[in-house]
Amino acid sequence: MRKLWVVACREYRSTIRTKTFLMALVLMPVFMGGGIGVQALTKGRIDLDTKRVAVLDRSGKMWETISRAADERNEKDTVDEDTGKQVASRFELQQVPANEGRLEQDRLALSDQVREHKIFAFIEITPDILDGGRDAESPAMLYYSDQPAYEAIQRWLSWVVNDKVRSARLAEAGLDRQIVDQAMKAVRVENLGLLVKSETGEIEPAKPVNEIATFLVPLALVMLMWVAIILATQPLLNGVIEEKMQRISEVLLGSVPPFELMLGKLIGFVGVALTLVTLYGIGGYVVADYYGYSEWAPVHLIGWFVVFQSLAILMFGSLFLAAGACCSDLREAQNLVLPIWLVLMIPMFTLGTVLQHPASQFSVVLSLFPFATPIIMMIRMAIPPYPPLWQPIVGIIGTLVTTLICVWAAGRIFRIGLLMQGKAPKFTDMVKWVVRG
Amino acid sequence: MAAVEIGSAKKRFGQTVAVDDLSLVVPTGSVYGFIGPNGSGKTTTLRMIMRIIHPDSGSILVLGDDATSGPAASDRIGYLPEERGLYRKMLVGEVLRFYAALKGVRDAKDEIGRWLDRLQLAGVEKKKVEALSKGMAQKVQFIATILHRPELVILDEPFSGLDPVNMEVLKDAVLELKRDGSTIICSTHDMDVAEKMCDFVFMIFKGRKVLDGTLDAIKDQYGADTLRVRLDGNGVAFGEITGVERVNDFGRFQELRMRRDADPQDILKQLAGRARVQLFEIARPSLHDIFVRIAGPQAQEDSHA
Repeated sequence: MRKLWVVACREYRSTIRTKTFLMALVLMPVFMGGGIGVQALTKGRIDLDTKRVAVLDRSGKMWETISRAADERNEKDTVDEDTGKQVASRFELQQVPANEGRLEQDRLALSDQVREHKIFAFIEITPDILDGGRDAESPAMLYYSDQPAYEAIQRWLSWVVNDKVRSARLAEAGLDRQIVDQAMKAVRVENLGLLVKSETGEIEPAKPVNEIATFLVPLALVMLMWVAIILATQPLLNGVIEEKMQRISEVLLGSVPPFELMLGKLIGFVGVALTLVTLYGIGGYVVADYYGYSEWAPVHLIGWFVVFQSLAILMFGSLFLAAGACCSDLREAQNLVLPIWLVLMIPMFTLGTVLQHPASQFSVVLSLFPFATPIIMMIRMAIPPYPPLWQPIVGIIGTLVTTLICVWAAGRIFRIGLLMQGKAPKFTDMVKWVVRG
Repeated sequence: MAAVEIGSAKKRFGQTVAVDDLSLVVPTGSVYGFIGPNGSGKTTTLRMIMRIIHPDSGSILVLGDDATSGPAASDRIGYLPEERGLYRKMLVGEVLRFYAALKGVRDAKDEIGRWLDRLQLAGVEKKKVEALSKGMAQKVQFIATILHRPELVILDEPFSGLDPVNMEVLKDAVLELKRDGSTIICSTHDMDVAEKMCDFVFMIFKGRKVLDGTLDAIKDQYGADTLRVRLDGNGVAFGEITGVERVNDFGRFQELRMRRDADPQDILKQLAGRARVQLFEIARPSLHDIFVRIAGPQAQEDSHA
């Protein structure tokens, strides 16, 4: 057993200290939070060009409103109040006289202007826009452009015009807009937990459900576990291939029994994963605490998390090890580990459904499927209604048994694969090795 | 007691017979040279001795233990793989401590320092393995192999790629191990090394043992059928000389193999008739020559015929 620790310590130390690992450690949160960060950073910096838009008002009733709204917007919303810096594009509208007789020609002429970059886009307003009885499905405004992905104009227009259309329709019907608005005001639904009786016998009011607690915390837990699995299993795979290529495996096998060698490696990488989780966990807590969210930190789940995380590394790590032992280069290994990746992806594919329906039959069954248990059960344990205690326990037992089978089978493949040179074995060969030993 | 005793061992991989009916006894305290062309079964034999692979049939006793089953791990054996075998990203000191610890040596620091000095590697302890030259890496690998003072040392091509100075250093280290009582099995392509260093030579060819014994015994099998000659001037057509079977031209001199019934005096006369003879020596064939006779293209053709 002493040799097992020697192997584990070497794997741990040499992984933690590699530059790749440190880079990944730093970059992973950047990537994860990066999407949001990039958006926040580039907001109002990407495209500030003035957008010239032609308006073909066939109704003859909308131009004034729209152009006034555009002026207002240009004045107020395109400039940051505090800094005075421009943060959004200005919309410069120009009216085009509508001539029903030569509509098609006008549309083509305007299209040509867009093509020649004289204007950015043009809008056509149908004559019946204010008609309350018109079919709501048929469009009342047509936005023509050669950049359909740019949606700022449509969005702004739809808001402005709808507002005006409502007012106009109400006025036509002789109704006061203010009264109608009040009548139509939506009421809010408060999302609450359940009431509990405190120790002193008093009834404690139900706490409002917090989005952070219900979605962000489980999501963060899943991401953490997922990232740790990836960051710990990839060096494991690379390591075993290096050992095979450099003929280190032979030296190792001359010193340590294969099973002990494999287990040592796995334990080393459980250590790597837990180190990573601890670092991110502490980091996350500090950040949460800074913003005053530390009360939502799932401290009570730490124990479960460590157990699930460790099992996941042992389970998937042993599979990656077995695959790596059979290959003589990384490219070959990538093919062989593809099925493992697919299994590893299951929780990610089903994440959305489980987050929304944590207690559904689907989620329960999935959380008891050993390869998905660590991540899915973790999510369920972080969202009310929490699963009954027997479920995580059964989940752990199932995962533990699967892990043992994986490690055992992988050990047999590992032992034979390590000494193979040349072509990677077929899947059937590997099954044979497992069965025959 | 012999360090290694192999009895009729056989190992096949699929359809290929890697080692066929091999018997071999390696006496304790000897230096045993394994020679043979690439792919002839040397590595398979070494791996069977290490117990990394098990024979399909036959018996193998290594240091008194049955090596036909069970795991390879043994603290009594040291193994140096051909050329590679070190983690490239680790520091030399770390690698050595790791390998020592794997063999159950708890504190190898002094021993590592002593060996690094001994092999003229002082100061490389803090270097990364990948920064070492081939010769240095080979010497580091050697230290990793013997830090735990193994009773049986298995060296796969220990001298390949070494310059004469490093080779000398490493050879002395191997002989020191021998003096301390270790048994050494050493595979090599360098016949000169095998001749000078090994007490016994074993040659395997196409999975079968073709030579085994002391160098003298092996050479005796072939008798004194070799002539080493140097003549003034070039252009002597040795092929025209009766009694000469094969010529091996070394540039500075030529090695002639005589026909079995040829008389060296007769050949000398023929040579003297054509050029001034500077050197004429009746010798036993070198190991190199024997190797080529067994495994060379000529022998291959003969065996196919």
